[in-house]
Amino acid sequence: MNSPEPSATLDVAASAVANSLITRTVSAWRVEFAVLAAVMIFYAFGQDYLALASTALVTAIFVLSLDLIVGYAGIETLGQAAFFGIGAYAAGLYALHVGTDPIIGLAVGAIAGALVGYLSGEVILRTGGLSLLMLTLAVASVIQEIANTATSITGGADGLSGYSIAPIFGLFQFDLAGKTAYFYSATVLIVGLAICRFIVESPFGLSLRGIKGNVTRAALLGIGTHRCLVAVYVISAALAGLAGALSAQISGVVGTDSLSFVVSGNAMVMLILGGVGRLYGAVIGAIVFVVISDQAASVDPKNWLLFVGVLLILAVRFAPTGLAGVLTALGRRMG
Amino acid sequence: MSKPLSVEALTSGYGDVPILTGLSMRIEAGSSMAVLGRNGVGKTTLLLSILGLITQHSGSITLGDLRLERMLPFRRARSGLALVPQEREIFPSLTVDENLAVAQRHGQWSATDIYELFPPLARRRRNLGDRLSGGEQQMLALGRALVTNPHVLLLDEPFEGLAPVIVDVIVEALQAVRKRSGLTSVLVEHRTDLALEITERAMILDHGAAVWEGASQALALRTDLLASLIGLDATGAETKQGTKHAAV
Repeated sequence: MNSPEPSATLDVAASAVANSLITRTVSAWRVEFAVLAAVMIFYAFGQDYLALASTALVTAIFVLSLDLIVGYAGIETLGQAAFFGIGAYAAGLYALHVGTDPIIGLAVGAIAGALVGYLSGEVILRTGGLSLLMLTLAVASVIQEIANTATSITGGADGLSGYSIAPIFGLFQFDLAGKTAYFYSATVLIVGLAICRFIVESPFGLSLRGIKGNVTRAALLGIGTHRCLVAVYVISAALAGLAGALSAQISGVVGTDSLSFVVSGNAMVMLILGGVGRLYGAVIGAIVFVVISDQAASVDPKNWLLFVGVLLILAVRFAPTGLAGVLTALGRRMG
Repeated sequence: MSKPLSVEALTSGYGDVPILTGLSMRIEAGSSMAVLGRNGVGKTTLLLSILGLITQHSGSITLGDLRLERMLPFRRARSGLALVPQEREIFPSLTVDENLAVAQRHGQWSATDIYELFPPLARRRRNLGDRLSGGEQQMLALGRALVTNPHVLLLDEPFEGLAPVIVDVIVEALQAVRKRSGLTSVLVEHRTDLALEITERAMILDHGAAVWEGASQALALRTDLLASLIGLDATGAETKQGTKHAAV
């Protein structure tokens, strides 16, 4: 029997290595690939709904920020809108007074969110339970009231508008059809998802899960629990600020309602609906919630919230681990 | 590397109510001490005080040359204290691997060593913490404390609720740990006979103060003391456990 040519053997080995590398890459980044595939498929078939899709993607980033603290660190909050709104105002004010570059605008929104997250988190994260829940709500309410009162800066109840955003990287102009906004939001979501996954799979993420499981036990293992909680709160606030900035850039207006309890509450509903502590659950929950809300509002503009309420009750009753949990269970059952 | 642990005139308790009153003790580096006494005399309170989890009114706690009393609990843990808690307190949503990884600090004990020490745990390494038997949880609790590579190991009722065969496994593991790293250890245990067999020194607490301290072997022979201070009968019938172990 003839032995194979050395070059052929090398080709086979190189091919095997390449296949293995591709398989591992796809496996490691499967959630990001799934989101990318969904984005491309939706673009192919749903071009009439790109504006709604962009809203869903921005909302998904915001809910992702909530999952980071609720799902992985056990920080209960009803005030996540504070960071979303701050990020939106920061990006809007930056575009109005400083510069129109969208990427810098995103960074400004994220930094503003992180700063407020740090200042509030250092204080309120020394509490827990109901006290913490009330304090998060109070922080958001205070910031909303400040935004409402400082009309010369924020536009008050009329909102902040009149700013323009330059083309992304000087190439992609925001268009009326919403194509640029759609792909811009999708890119930010995928990057945000990858960053969040990197965080939760790191030793820091493991410490957070330990803190969520038993904060005293985690401290007795030498984990600086307060520092870890503040750190993840700041990261989450930065991500929420980023979502807010994105929203401000896409919609061209920032209102005080972006800081409201309704925004925080809805985000929590979306997270529960999608599945807490899974990251992709936040994405699924946000998209399902936005689409169902839109459809319900078009069917019955007055009572559409009823649909959402029923949906939440059904989700909690029949899918306590959220839609992501149902999908995971189905996946396991199908082998 | 083990270090000595000293407690001087410690008064501590829950809020304003003191449980320990002027308690002093010293455990030499590499030595082991059993803390004995009736229920409610302050045995667990002593461990919680050392770890900074309850209010310290006065006194000092020293690990090697390091004063601990002003340190937060996580800093005391980083300084080299590790607790194996009475309720085990395994992180339920983390796997066995992750329960060890979250605690791992640089030193001679790693997850691989723990799996060598407890082979049954290696077979469950991907199980979640709440999917383990009581014995496996206790193995993991001990392993998790060891991978922090502490100077002093504090054990709070480590044999409680365990089957005799698992007690033997844990005792053998403690002996192996002692042989390998010579850890200073404090053992709070209501099974007096077992505690005295596996420690070098013993201390009896009563009403929040140390009322007797000496060699464990000597105390094992003092049935009068055991009867009056711990509540065992003169024959020590309650303490007969069968298995004999060398001191750890």
